[in-house]
Amino acid sequence: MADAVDILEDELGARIPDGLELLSARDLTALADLLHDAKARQAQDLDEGVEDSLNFVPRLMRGPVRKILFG
Amino acid sequence: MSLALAEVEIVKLARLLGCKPREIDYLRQVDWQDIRDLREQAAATMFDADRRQLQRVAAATKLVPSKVTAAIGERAFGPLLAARVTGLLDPSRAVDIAGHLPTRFLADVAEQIEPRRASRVIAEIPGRQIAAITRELAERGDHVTMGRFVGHLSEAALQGALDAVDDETLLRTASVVESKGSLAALVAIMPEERLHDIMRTATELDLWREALDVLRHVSDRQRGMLGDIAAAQDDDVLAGLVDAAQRDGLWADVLPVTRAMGADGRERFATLAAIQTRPVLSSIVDAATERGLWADLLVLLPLLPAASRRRVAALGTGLRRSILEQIIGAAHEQGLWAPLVRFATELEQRTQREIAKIIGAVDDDVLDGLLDAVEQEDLQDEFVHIAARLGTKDMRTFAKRLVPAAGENLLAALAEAAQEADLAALHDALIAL
Repeated sequence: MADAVDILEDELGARIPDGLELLSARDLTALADLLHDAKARQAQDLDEGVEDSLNFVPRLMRGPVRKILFG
Repeated sequence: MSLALAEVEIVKLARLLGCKPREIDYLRQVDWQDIRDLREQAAATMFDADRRQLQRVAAATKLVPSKVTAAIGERAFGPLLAARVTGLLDPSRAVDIAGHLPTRFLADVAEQIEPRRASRVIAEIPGRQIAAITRELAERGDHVTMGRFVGHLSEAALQGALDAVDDETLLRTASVVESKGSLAALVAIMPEERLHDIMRTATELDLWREALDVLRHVSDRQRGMLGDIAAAQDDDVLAGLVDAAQRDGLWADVLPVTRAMGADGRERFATLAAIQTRPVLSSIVDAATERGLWADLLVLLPLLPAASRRRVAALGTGLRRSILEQIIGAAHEQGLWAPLVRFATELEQRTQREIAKIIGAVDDDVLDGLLDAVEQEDLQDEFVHIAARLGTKDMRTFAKRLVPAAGENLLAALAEAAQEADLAALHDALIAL
Protein backbone atom coordinates (compact mmCIF):
# COMPACT_ATOMS: atom_id res chain seq x y z
CA MET A 1 0.00 0.00 0.00
CA ALA A 2 2.73 2.45 1.02
CA ASP A 3 4.56 1.65 -2.23
CA ALA A 4 1.49 2.37 -4.31
CA VAL A 5 0.99 5.72 -2.54
CA ASP A 6 4.66 6.58 -3.16
CA ILE A 7 4.38 5.70 -6.85
CA LEU A 8 1.31 7.91 -7.33
CA GLU A 9 2.85 10.74 -5.32
CA ASP A 10 5.97 10.56 -7.48
CA GLU A 11 3.82 10.93 -10.60
CA LEU A 12 1.77 13.72 -9.06
CA GLY A 13 4.73 15.53 -7.58
CA ALA A 14 2.59 16.10 -4.50
CA ARG A 15 0.96 14.32 -1.56
CA ILE A 16 -2.19 12.54 -2.61
CA PRO A 17 -5.47 13.89 -1.17
CA ASP A 18 -6.29 12.10 2.09
CA GLY A 19 -9.47 10.48 0.74
CA LEU A 20 -7.49 8.47 -1.80
CA GLU A 21 -6.17 6.32 0.99
CA LEU A 22 -9.50 4.46 0.76
CA LEU A 23 -8.32 3.01 -2.55
CA SER A 24 -6.58 -0.32 -2.89
CA ALA A 25 -2.93 -0.53 -3.89
CA ARG A 26 -4.07 -1.80 -7.26
CA ASP A 27 -6.30 1.23 -7.89
CA LEU A 28 -3.61 3.65 -6.77
CA THR A 29 -1.08 2.01 -9.07
CA ALA A 30 -3.59 2.11 -11.93
CA LEU A 31 -4.05 5.84 -11.37
CA ALA A 32 -0.28 6.35 -11.36
CA ASP A 33 -0.03 4.42 -14.64
CA LEU A 34 -2.79 6.48 -16.25
CA LEU A 35 -1.09 9.71 -15.23
CA HIS A 36 2.28 8.46 -16.41
CA ASP A 37 0.83 7.46 -19.79
CA ALA A 38 -1.03 10.77 -20.13
CA LYS A 39 2.19 12.71 -19.53
CA ALA A 40 4.11 10.53 -21.97
CA ARG A 41 1.40 10.93 -24.62
CA GLN A 42 1.31 14.68 -24.12
CA ALA A 43 5.09 14.94 -24.48
CA GLN A 44 5.06 12.84 -27.64
CA ASP A 45 2.12 14.78 -29.14
CA LEU A 46 3.91 18.00 -28.35
CA ASP A 47 7.13 16.86 -30.01
CA GLU A 48 5.25 15.73 -33.09
CA GLY A 49 3.07 18.84 -33.13
CA VAL A 50 6.05 21.16 -32.92
CA GLU A 51 7.80 19.31 -35.76
CA ASP A 52 4.64 19.28 -37.86
CA SER A 53 3.84 22.93 -37.19
CA LEU A 54 6.83 24.07 -39.23
CA ASN A 55 5.16 22.72 -42.35
CA PHE A 56 2.42 25.34 -41.91
CA VAL A 57 4.75 28.26 -41.28
CA PRO A 58 5.53 30.38 -44.36
CA ARG A 59 9.02 29.51 -45.61
CA LEU A 60 10.46 32.96 -44.83
CA MET A 61 9.47 32.70 -41.16
CA ARG A 62 10.63 29.15 -40.55
CA GLY A 63 14.16 30.08 -39.43
CA PRO A 64 13.12 32.43 -36.61
CA VAL A 65 10.23 30.15 -35.57
CA ARG A 66 12.51 27.12 -35.51
CA LYS A 67 14.97 29.07 -33.39
CA ILE A 68 12.29 29.84 -30.81
CA LEU A 69 10.88 26.33 -30.81
CA PHE A 70 14.17 24.46 -30.62
CA GLY A 71 16.45 27.03 -29.02
CA MET B 1 -30.88 12.03 -13.49
CA SER B 2 -28.32 14.52 -12.38
CA LEU B 3 -24.75 13.51 -12.16
CA ALA B 4 -23.53 13.17 -8.61
CA LEU B 5 -20.62 15.43 -7.76
CA ALA B 6 -18.17 12.51 -7.66
CA GLU B 7 -19.37 11.34 -11.05
CA VAL B 8 -18.82 14.80 -12.55
CA GLU B 9 -15.30 14.92 -11.15
CA ILE B 10 -14.60 11.44 -12.53
CA VAL B 11 -15.67 12.59 -16.01
CA LYS B 12 -13.33 15.59 -15.79
CA LEU B 13 -10.40 13.54 -14.51
CA ALA B 14 -10.92 10.90 -17.20
CA ARG B 15 -10.74 13.61 -19.87
CA LEU B 16 -7.51 14.90 -18.40
CA LEU B 17 -5.98 11.44 -18.26
CA GLY B 18 -7.29 10.46 -21.69
CA CYS B 19 -9.20 7.42 -20.43
CA LYS B 20 -12.83 6.39 -20.17
CA PRO B 21 -14.67 7.36 -16.95
CA ARG B 22 -15.43 3.70 -16.24
CA GLU B 23 -11.67 2.98 -16.11
CA ILE B 24 -11.48 5.08 -12.94
CA ASP B 25 -14.89 4.16 -11.60
CA TYR B 26 -13.28 3.00 -8.35
CA LEU B 27 -12.93 6.68 -7.44
CA ARG B 28 -16.67 6.75 -6.69
CA GLN B 29 -15.87 5.61 -3.17
CA VAL B 30 -13.76 8.76 -2.66
CA ASP B 31 -15.24 12.14 -1.65
CA TRP B 32 -15.79 14.40 -4.68
CA GLN B 33 -13.57 17.11 -3.24
CA ASP B 34 -10.65 14.68 -3.05
CA ILE B 35 -11.22 13.70 -6.68
CA ARG B 36 -11.25 17.39 -7.63
CA ASP B 37 -8.03 17.96 -5.66
CA LEU B 38 -6.45 14.98 -7.42
CA ARG B 39 -7.50 16.36 -10.81
CA GLU B 40 -6.05 19.75 -10.03
CA GLN B 41 -2.78 18.16 -8.92
CA ALA B 42 -2.68 16.01 -12.07
CA ALA B 43 -3.45 19.03 -14.29
CA ALA B 44 -0.67 21.01 -12.63
CA THR B 45 1.90 18.25 -12.99
CA MET B 46 0.95 17.62 -16.63
CA PHE B 47 1.26 21.30 -17.40
CA ASP B 48 4.56 21.62 -15.55
CA ALA B 49 6.01 18.56 -17.28
CA ASP B 50 6.03 20.39 -20.63
CA ARG B 51 5.87 23.97 -19.47
CA ARG B 52 9.09 25.06 -21.18
CA GLN B 53 8.11 23.57 -24.52
CA LEU B 54 4.59 25.00 -24.28
CA GLN B 55 6.04 28.44 -23.53
CA ARG B 56 8.24 28.18 -26.62
CA VAL B 57 5.21 27.37 -28.73
CA ALA B 58 3.35 30.35 -27.25
CA ALA B 59 6.33 32.62 -27.99
CA ALA B 60 6.60 31.34 -31.56
CA THR B 61 2.97 32.25 -32.28
CA LYS B 62 3.95 35.91 -32.01
CA LEU B 63 5.96 35.59 -35.23
CA VAL B 64 3.20 33.99 -37.24
CA PRO B 65 -0.09 35.53 -38.45
CA SER B 66 -3.14 34.54 -36.41
CA LYS B 67 -4.69 32.72 -39.32
CA VAL B 68 -1.60 30.51 -39.71
CA THR B 69 -1.38 29.94 -35.96
CA ALA B 70 -5.01 28.84 -36.00
CA ALA B 71 -4.26 26.33 -38.77
CA ILE B 72 -1.25 25.02 -36.83
CA GLY B 73 -3.34 24.70 -33.68
CA GLU B 74 -6.05 22.78 -35.45
CA ARG B 75 -3.99 20.55 -37.73
CA ALA B 76 -0.60 20.10 -36.06
CA PHE B 77 -1.35 20.32 -32.34
CA GLY B 78 -4.95 19.32 -31.87
CA PRO B 79 -7.35 20.41 -29.13
CA LEU B 80 -5.47 19.14 -26.07
CA LEU B 81 -2.20 20.96 -26.80
CA ALA B 82 -4.07 24.00 -28.10
CA ALA B 83 -5.89 24.07 -24.74
CA ARG B 84 -2.57 23.88 -22.86
CA VAL B 85 -1.02 26.74 -24.87
CA THR B 86 -4.07 29.00 -24.68
CA GLY B 87 -3.43 30.16 -21.14
CA LEU B 88 0.12 31.18 -22.10
CA LEU B 89 -0.96 33.48 -24.93
CA ASP B 90 -1.65 37.17 -24.72
CA PRO B 91 -5.47 37.25 -24.33
CA SER B 92 -6.17 39.57 -27.27
CA ARG B 93 -3.91 37.48 -29.50
CA ALA B 94 -5.62 34.28 -28.35
CA VAL B 95 -9.03 35.80 -29.11
CA ASP B 96 -7.80 36.79 -32.56
CA ILE B 97 -6.56 33.25 -33.23
CA ALA B 98 -9.85 31.77 -31.98
CA GLY B 99 -11.63 33.97 -34.52
CA HIS B 100 -10.00 31.89 -37.26
CA LEU B 101 -10.96 28.51 -35.82
CA PRO B 102 -14.12 26.52 -36.48
CA THR B 103 -16.65 26.23 -33.66
CA ARG B 104 -16.33 22.44 -33.61
CA PHE B 105 -12.59 22.67 -32.86
CA LEU B 106 -13.11 25.37 -30.23
CA ALA B 107 -15.64 23.13 -28.52
CA ASP B 108 -13.01 20.35 -28.53
CA VAL B 109 -10.53 22.78 -26.96
CA ALA B 110 -13.14 23.81 -24.40
CA GLU B 111 -13.43 20.17 -23.31
CA GLN B 112 -9.71 20.05 -22.59
CA ILE B 113 -8.99 23.48 -21.22
CA GLU B 114 -8.43 24.28 -17.55
CA PRO B 115 -10.59 27.42 -17.33
CA ARG B 116 -8.64 28.80 -14.39
CA ARG B 117 -5.41 28.78 -16.40
CA ALA B 118 -7.04 30.54 -19.34
CA SER B 119 -9.46 32.76 -17.46
CA ARG B 120 -8.32 36.04 -19.04
CA VAL B 121 -8.61 34.61 -22.54
CA ILE B 122 -12.07 33.15 -21.89
CA ALA B 123 -13.29 36.46 -20.49
CA GLU B 124 -12.35 38.27 -23.72
CA ILE B 125 -13.93 35.90 -26.23
CA PRO B 126 -16.89 37.69 -27.86
CA GLY B 127 -20.39 36.72 -26.74
CA ARG B 128 -21.47 35.52 -30.19
CA GLN B 129 -18.54 33.07 -30.34
CA ILE B 130 -19.22 31.82 -26.81
CA ALA B 131 -22.85 31.35 -27.87
CA ALA B 132 -21.79 29.30 -30.90
CA ILE B 133 -19.45 27.10 -28.82
CA THR B 134 -22.19 26.71 -26.21
CA ARG B 135 -24.65 25.57 -28.89
CA GLU B 136 -22.11 22.99 -30.09
CA LEU B 137 -21.47 21.71 -26.55
CA ALA B 138 -25.23 21.59 -25.89
CA GLU B 139 -25.72 19.48 -29.01
CA ARG B 140 -23.08 17.10 -27.65
CA GLY B 141 -24.88 17.03 -24.29
CA ASP B 142 -21.62 18.14 -22.68
CA HIS B 143 -23.02 19.85 -19.59
CA VAL B 144 -19.83 19.19 -17.66
CA THR B 145 -17.71 21.37 -19.95
CA MET B 146 -20.28 24.15 -20.04
CA GLY B 147 -20.46 24.00 -16.27
CA ARG B 148 -16.74 24.60 -15.96
CA PHE B 149 -16.90 27.89 -17.87
CA VAL B 150 -19.75 29.64 -16.11
CA GLY B 151 -17.59 31.39 -13.53
CA HIS B 152 -15.14 32.63 -16.14
CA LEU B 153 -17.40 34.29 -18.72
CA SER B 154 -18.10 38.00 -19.05
CA GLU B 155 -21.71 39.04 -18.46
CA ALA B 156 -22.25 39.54 -22.20
CA ALA B 157 -20.84 36.09 -22.94
CA LEU B 158 -22.92 34.53 -20.18
CA GLN B 159 -26.01 36.15 -21.68
CA GLY B 160 -25.06 34.81 -25.09
CA ALA B 161 -24.62 31.32 -23.66
CA LEU B 162 -27.96 31.51 -21.82
CA ASP B 163 -29.75 32.49 -25.00
CA ALA B 164 -28.07 29.63 -26.87
CA VAL B 165 -29.40 26.79 -24.73
CA ASP B 166 -32.83 25.45 -23.87
CA ASP B 167 -34.16 25.19 -20.33
CA GLU B 168 -33.27 21.52 -19.96
CA THR B 169 -29.64 22.14 -20.93
CA LEU B 170 -29.54 25.11 -18.61
CA LEU B 171 -30.81 23.10 -15.63
CA ARG B 172 -28.50 20.17 -16.29
CA THR B 173 -25.53 22.53 -16.71
CA ALA B 174 -26.34 24.65 -13.67
CA SER B 175 -26.33 21.56 -11.46
CA VAL B 176 -22.75 20.70 -12.50
CA VAL B 177 -21.33 24.23 -12.47
CA GLU B 178 -17.87 24.00 -10.99
CA SER B 179 -17.83 27.37 -9.32
CA LYS B 180 -21.13 27.28 -7.42
CA GLY B 181 -20.62 30.89 -6.34
CA SER B 182 -21.18 31.99 -9.93
CA LEU B 183 -24.76 30.66 -10.00
CA ALA B 184 -25.94 33.88 -8.37
CA ALA B 185 -24.56 35.87 -11.33
CA LEU B 186 -26.25 33.47 -13.72
CA VAL B 187 -29.64 33.84 -12.04
CA ALA B 188 -29.19 37.61 -11.81
CA ILE B 189 -29.17 38.09 -15.58
CA MET B 190 -32.10 35.80 -16.32
CA PRO B 191 -35.45 37.44 -17.08
CA GLU B 192 -38.32 36.41 -14.80
CA GLU B 193 -40.21 34.88 -17.70
CA ARG B 194 -37.34 32.48 -18.34
CA LEU B 195 -37.27 31.49 -14.69
CA HIS B 196 -40.99 30.67 -14.86
CA ASP B 197 -40.36 28.51 -17.93
CA ILE B 198 -37.44 26.74 -16.25
CA MET B 199 -39.61 25.76 -13.29
CA ARG B 200 -42.22 24.31 -15.58
CA THR B 201 -39.46 22.42 -17.40
CA ALA B 202 -38.18 21.13 -14.04
CA THR B 203 -41.54 19.48 -13.47
CA GLU B 204 -42.07 18.29 -17.04
CA LEU B 205 -38.64 16.68 -17.29
CA ASP B 206 -38.26 15.70 -13.64
CA LEU B 207 -35.35 18.07 -13.06
CA TRP B 208 -36.24 19.58 -9.71
CA ARG B 209 -33.15 18.04 -8.16
CA GLU B 210 -31.08 20.15 -10.53
CA ALA B 211 -33.20 23.25 -9.93
CA LEU B 212 -32.98 22.90 -6.16
CA ASP B 213 -29.21 22.55 -6.42
CA VAL B 214 -29.17 26.03 -7.94
CA LEU B 215 -31.42 27.38 -5.19
CA ARG B 216 -28.98 26.08 -2.59
CA HIS B 217 -26.18 28.23 -3.95
CA VAL B 218 -27.79 31.59 -4.69
CA SER B 219 -28.15 34.51 -2.30
CA ASP B 220 -30.99 34.60 0.26
CA ARG B 221 -32.69 37.38 -1.67
CA GLN B 222 -32.53 35.39 -4.90
CA ARG B 223 -33.72 32.27 -3.10
CA GLY B 224 -36.76 34.20 -1.92
CA MET B 225 -37.38 35.61 -5.39
CA LEU B 226 -37.07 32.18 -7.00
CA GLY B 227 -39.25 30.70 -4.27
CA ASP B 228 -41.95 33.25 -5.02
CA ILE B 229 -41.74 32.46 -8.72
CA ALA B 230 -42.10 28.77 -7.84
CA ALA B 231 -45.05 29.52 -5.56
CA ALA B 232 -46.77 31.36 -8.44
CA GLN B 233 -46.73 28.24 -10.61
CA ASP B 234 -49.74 26.06 -11.29
CA ASP B 235 -50.51 23.27 -8.84
CA ASP B 236 -49.08 20.60 -11.14
CA VAL B 237 -45.68 22.34 -11.23
CA LEU B 238 -45.56 22.60 -7.46
CA ALA B 239 -46.74 19.02 -7.12
CA GLY B 240 -43.74 18.08 -9.27
CA LEU B 241 -41.47 19.89 -6.84
CA VAL B 242 -43.06 18.13 -3.85
CA ASP B 243 -42.83 14.73 -5.58
CA ALA B 244 -39.14 15.24 -6.36
CA ALA B 245 -38.35 16.50 -2.85
CA GLN B 246 -40.14 13.53 -1.33
CA ARG B 247 -38.66 10.90 -3.65
CA ASP B 248 -35.08 12.20 -3.62
CA GLY B 249 -34.93 13.40 -0.01
CA LEU B 250 -34.56 17.08 -0.91
CA TRP B 251 -36.61 18.72 1.84
CA ALA B 252 -33.49 20.15 3.41
CA ASP B 253 -33.10 22.16 0.19
CA VAL B 254 -36.76 23.14 -0.03
CA LEU B 255 -37.30 24.35 3.56
CA PRO B 256 -34.83 27.28 3.36
CA VAL B 257 -36.55 28.33 0.14
CA THR B 258 -39.96 28.48 1.81
CA ARG B 259 -38.50 30.62 4.54
CA ALA B 260 -36.97 33.05 2.05
CA MET B 261 -40.29 33.42 0.16
CA GLY B 262 -42.67 36.32 0.63
CA ALA B 263 -45.72 35.79 2.87
CA ASP B 264 -48.09 35.06 -0.03
CA GLY B 265 -45.79 32.50 -1.62
CA ARG B 266 -45.19 30.78 1.69
CA GLU B 267 -48.90 30.56 2.39
CA ARG B 268 -49.54 29.11 -1.06
CA PHE B 269 -46.83 26.53 -0.48
CA ALA B 270 -48.04 25.63 3.03
CA THR B 271 -51.56 24.99 1.79
CA LEU B 272 -50.62 22.90 -1.24
CA ALA B 273 -52.57 19.65 -1.24
CA ALA B 274 -49.40 17.70 -2.06
CA ILE B 275 -47.77 18.81 1.21
CA GLN B 276 -50.52 17.66 3.53
CA THR B 277 -49.95 13.90 3.48
CA ARG B 278 -48.45 12.14 6.47
CA PRO B 279 -45.40 10.77 4.57
CA VAL B 280 -44.53 14.22 3.20
CA LEU B 281 -44.99 15.96 6.55
CA SER B 282 -42.96 13.22 8.19
CA SER B 283 -40.10 13.75 5.72
CA ILE B 284 -40.24 17.50 6.31
CA VAL B 285 -40.03 17.04 10.09
CA ASP B 286 -37.14 14.57 9.65
CA ALA B 287 -35.25 17.00 7.40
CA ALA B 288 -35.79 19.86 9.86
CA THR B 289 -34.58 17.68 12.73
CA GLU B 290 -31.60 16.10 10.99
CA ARG B 291 -30.37 19.26 9.29
CA GLY B 292 -31.09 21.82 12.00
CA LEU B 293 -33.84 23.52 9.99
CA TRP B 294 -36.54 23.91 12.62
CA ALA B 295 -36.43 27.67 12.27
CA ASP B 296 -37.57 27.21 8.67
CA LEU B 297 -40.31 24.81 9.74
CA LEU B 298 -41.50 27.08 12.55
CA VAL B 299 -42.14 29.80 9.96
CA LEU B 300 -44.23 27.39 7.92
CA LEU B 301 -46.16 25.77 10.79
CA PRO B 302 -48.75 28.47 11.50
CA LEU B 303 -49.70 28.47 7.82
CA LEU B 304 -50.42 24.75 7.61
CA PRO B 305 -54.06 23.65 7.76
CA ALA B 306 -55.06 22.61 11.30
CA ALA B 307 -55.14 18.90 10.44
CA SER B 308 -51.59 19.05 9.09
CA ARG B 309 -50.37 20.98 12.12
CA ARG B 310 -51.79 18.24 14.29
CA ARG B 311 -49.97 15.68 12.15
CA VAL B 312 -46.71 17.57 12.61
CA ALA B 313 -47.40 17.78 16.32
CA ALA B 314 -47.94 14.01 16.41
CA LEU B 315 -44.65 13.59 14.56
CA GLY B 316 -42.98 15.91 17.07
CA THR B 317 -44.13 13.72 19.92
CA GLY B 318 -41.26 12.16 21.74
CA LEU B 319 -38.58 14.27 20.08
CA ARG B 320 -35.33 13.87 21.98
CA ARG B 321 -34.39 16.54 24.50
CA SER B 322 -31.43 17.62 22.37
CA ILE B 323 -33.78 18.23 19.42
CA LEU B 324 -36.22 20.20 21.57
CA GLU B 325 -33.28 22.29 22.79
CA GLN B 326 -32.31 22.87 19.17
CA ILE B 327 -35.87 24.01 18.36
CA ILE B 328 -35.99 26.34 21.36
CA GLY B 329 -32.57 27.74 20.40
CA ALA B 330 -33.81 28.38 16.86
CA ALA B 331 -36.96 30.09 18.15
CA HIS B 332 -34.84 32.38 20.33
CA GLU B 333 -32.20 33.21 17.73
CA GLN B 334 -34.67 33.79 14.91
CA GLY B 335 -37.42 35.50 16.90
CA LEU B 336 -39.85 32.63 16.35
CA TRP B 337 -41.23 32.20 19.86
CA ALA B 338 -44.84 32.73 18.85
CA PRO B 339 -45.04 29.86 16.34
CA LEU B 340 -43.11 27.61 18.74
CA VAL B 341 -45.37 28.35 21.73
CA ARG B 342 -48.50 27.80 19.63
CA PHE B 343 -47.06 24.60 18.17
CA ALA B 344 -46.08 23.37 21.64
CA THR B 345 -49.70 23.52 22.78
CA GLU B 346 -50.53 20.94 20.12
CA LEU B 347 -47.89 18.47 21.31
CA GLU B 348 -48.75 15.69 23.72
CA GLN B 349 -48.23 16.22 27.45
CA ARG B 350 -44.93 14.43 27.90
CA THR B 351 -43.24 16.52 25.20
CA GLN B 352 -44.82 19.68 26.58
CA ARG B 353 -43.39 18.83 30.01
CA GLU B 354 -39.95 18.34 28.47
CA ILE B 355 -40.21 21.72 26.74
CA ALA B 356 -41.32 23.38 30.00
CA LYS B 357 -38.33 21.84 31.79
CA ILE B 358 -35.94 23.12 29.13
CA ILE B 359 -37.47 26.59 29.28
CA GLY B 360 -37.13 26.52 33.06
CA ALA B 361 -33.40 25.99 32.68
CA VAL B 362 -32.57 28.34 29.79
CA ASP B 363 -30.29 31.34 30.14
CA ASP B 364 -31.82 34.62 31.33
CA ASP B 365 -31.65 36.27 27.92
CA VAL B 366 -33.53 33.36 26.33
CA LEU B 367 -36.23 33.52 29.01
CA ASP B 368 -36.48 37.29 28.55
CA GLY B 369 -37.00 36.78 24.80
CA LEU B 370 -39.73 34.24 25.42
CA LEU B 371 -41.55 36.39 27.98
CA ASP B 372 -41.38 39.42 25.69
CA ALA B 373 -42.99 37.36 22.94
CA VAL B 374 -45.65 36.04 25.34
CA GLU B 375 -46.55 39.59 26.35
CA GLN B 376 -46.43 41.14 22.89
CA GLU B 377 -48.18 38.32 21.06
CA ASP B 378 -50.74 37.70 23.81
CA LEU B 379 -49.62 34.12 24.36
CA GLN B 380 -50.40 33.92 28.09
CA ASP B 381 -52.97 31.13 27.64
CA GLU B 382 -50.61 29.00 25.55
CA PHE B 383 -47.71 29.67 27.91
CA VAL B 384 -49.49 28.61 31.08
CA HIS B 385 -50.85 25.56 29.28
CA ILE B 386 -47.28 24.35 28.74
CA ALA B 387 -45.96 25.40 32.16
CA ALA B 388 -48.82 23.53 33.83
CA ARG B 389 -47.32 20.24 32.65
CA LEU B 390 -44.52 20.55 35.19
CA GLY B 391 -44.64 18.66 38.46
CA THR B 392 -45.37 20.68 41.61
CA LYS B 393 -41.74 21.08 42.63
CA ASP B 394 -40.54 21.99 39.15
CA MET B 395 -43.44 24.39 38.77
CA ARG B 396 -42.52 26.23 41.94
CA THR B 397 -38.93 26.54 40.76
CA PHE B 398 -40.15 27.69 37.37
CA ALA B 399 -42.46 30.29 38.90
CA LYS B 400 -39.54 31.59 40.99
CA ARG B 401 -37.59 32.18 37.82
CA LEU B 402 -40.46 34.06 36.23
CA VAL B 403 -40.76 36.66 38.97
CA PRO B 404 -37.56 38.61 38.33
CA ALA B 405 -37.85 38.09 34.57
CA ALA B 406 -41.49 39.02 33.98
CA GLY B 407 -42.92 42.41 34.85
CA GLU B 408 -45.77 42.80 37.28
CA ASN B 409 -48.36 43.07 34.53
CA LEU B 410 -47.25 39.91 32.80
CA LEU B 411 -47.15 37.97 36.07
CA ALA B 412 -50.69 39.05 36.83
CA ALA B 413 -51.81 38.13 33.32
CA LEU B 414 -50.19 34.71 33.62
CA ALA B 415 -51.83 34.08 37.00
CA GLU B 416 -55.18 35.07 35.56
CA ALA B 417 -54.68 32.84 32.54
CA ALA B 418 -53.78 29.94 34.86
CA GLN B 419 -56.91 30.53 36.91
CA GLU B 420 -59.15 30.69 33.86
CA ALA B 421 -57.68 27.45 32.61
CA ASP B 422 -58.25 25.76 35.96
CA LEU B 423 -54.53 25.35 36.43
CA ALA B 424 -54.70 25.84 40.15
CA ALA B 425 -51.19 24.59 40.94
CA LEU B 426 -49.59 27.07 38.55
CA HIS B 427 -51.89 29.88 39.65
CA ASP B 428 -51.01 29.23 43.28
CA ALA B 429 -47.31 29.06 42.52
CA LEU B 430 -47.45 32.45 40.76
CA ILE B 431 -49.64 34.06 43.40
CA ALA B 432 -47.46 32.76 46.24
CA LEU B 433 -44.60 34.82 44.88
